[in-house]
Amino acid sequence: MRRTVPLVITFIAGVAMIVSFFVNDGTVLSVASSKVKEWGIIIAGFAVVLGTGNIVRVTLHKAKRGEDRPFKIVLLVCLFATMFLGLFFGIDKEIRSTWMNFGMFEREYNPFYWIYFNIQLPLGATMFSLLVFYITSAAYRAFRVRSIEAGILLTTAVIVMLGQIPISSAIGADKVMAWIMVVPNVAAKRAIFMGAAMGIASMSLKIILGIERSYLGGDS
Amino acid sequence: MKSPLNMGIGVGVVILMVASFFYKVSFGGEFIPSFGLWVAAWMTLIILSFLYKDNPFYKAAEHIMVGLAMAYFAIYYIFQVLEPRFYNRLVLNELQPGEQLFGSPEVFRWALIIPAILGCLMLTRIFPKVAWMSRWSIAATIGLGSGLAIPVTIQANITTQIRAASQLPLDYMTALHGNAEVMPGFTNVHLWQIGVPLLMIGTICGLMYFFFSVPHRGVFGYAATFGIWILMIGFGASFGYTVMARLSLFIGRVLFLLKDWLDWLPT
Repeated sequence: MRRTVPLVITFIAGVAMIVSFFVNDGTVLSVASSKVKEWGIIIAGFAVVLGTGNIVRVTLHKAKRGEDRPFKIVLLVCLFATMFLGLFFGIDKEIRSTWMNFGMFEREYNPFYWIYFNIQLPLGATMFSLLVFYITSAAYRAFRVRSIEAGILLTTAVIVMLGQIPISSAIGADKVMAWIMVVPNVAAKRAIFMGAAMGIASMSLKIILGIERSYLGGDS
Repeated sequence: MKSPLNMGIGVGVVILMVASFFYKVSFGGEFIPSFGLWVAAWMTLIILSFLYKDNPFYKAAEHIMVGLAMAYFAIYYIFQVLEPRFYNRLVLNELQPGEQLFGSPEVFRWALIIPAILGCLMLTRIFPKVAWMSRWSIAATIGLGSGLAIPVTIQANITTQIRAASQLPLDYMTALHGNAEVMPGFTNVHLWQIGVPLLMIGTICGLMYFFFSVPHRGVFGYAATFGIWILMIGFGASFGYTVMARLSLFIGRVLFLLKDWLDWLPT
């Protein structure tokens, strides 16, 4: 029950997906397979609920132990406040009717959208922009031209960076960069994509056939 | 915030921020839009403060971001997926024309209980005694993902790439006849003439590098070495692009501070 049923479910779900891709003639089999795809999206929706619950549980546990307690409280307050505003006002720029606000506040500026636009967006953008300093300093410390491969990597990176600055056209770096991006870069990406696709397909097949079972947990 | 000095600096910064906002608003700014702009600016500055050193403001902002992102994702999924695909269909019976299973809309509607049960089983993970039941829904998700991955990755990353690579000899012949428009925006036909064979050989050599069933010696070894050079060019290009993308993001934040917030630059 604990081992066999999940393996059977995986097999049926996997085969249904493959069938829905190849059989699209409106028969019962193809229609049923395509509906199973929809079910997967719905099941994933419940996983979001589980994920939210899990983050609350872990944060509460840490707060109880006194680990960064004020910050954990900030996290929980932000989480619950945003979720409440989202459930109450919807996710669009203008407030829409949801089952929680009984159709009030039509076409007003949505506080959920306000939070996203004025807090989450600047936080995320600035957080990612910080990486430019760390990526540059890490590259400065780590990159040493000890081999031909390292030299090629470094030279390409410098040309690509030079090719995107305003004086690139004056020094001709934009043309070299364009050539690198459409010729050797495409060759490399194509080789990587093909190799990765073969890996993904073979791993997926192993999962469907029940050879790979690590996703079931340790005591499977 | 361990020493009184740090505490004092922190409180001072907060007072300065609040005071500066009200100062700006008192000179004719509208409250809500101005408040949003100032909150965004404070958040930007707080994150940038990490460049000096880790501090409580940054830590608070980090936790705010985690809370908001999780809530946003959950709410987005509820309104974009669970509401239209599940709640509206099953509870409100709002089915689109053609939504039927085995010829019946009712079967389609009530069949939605199956993913709902599997979804609820996922929540059993919270209770250790019945946590094993969550494997059923995990198995369904993994199975669906794996089944979808096989045809999609083969089609997108293998057959499409092979088709594009097969087109290259034709493009090469066109390029040899001096048609510079073979690649949009690429006017140097000589570079293109070098590029097409390099692209073909580079792809094959790159794949040869990934083929470990044969020892990388002799002719195969040379080809694999050339393949790793091509791969290094690809990695270098990705690295350069990533750095410049982050830099443009940083420039965007600085422009936001100088132009939108402080109004120091012309719009």
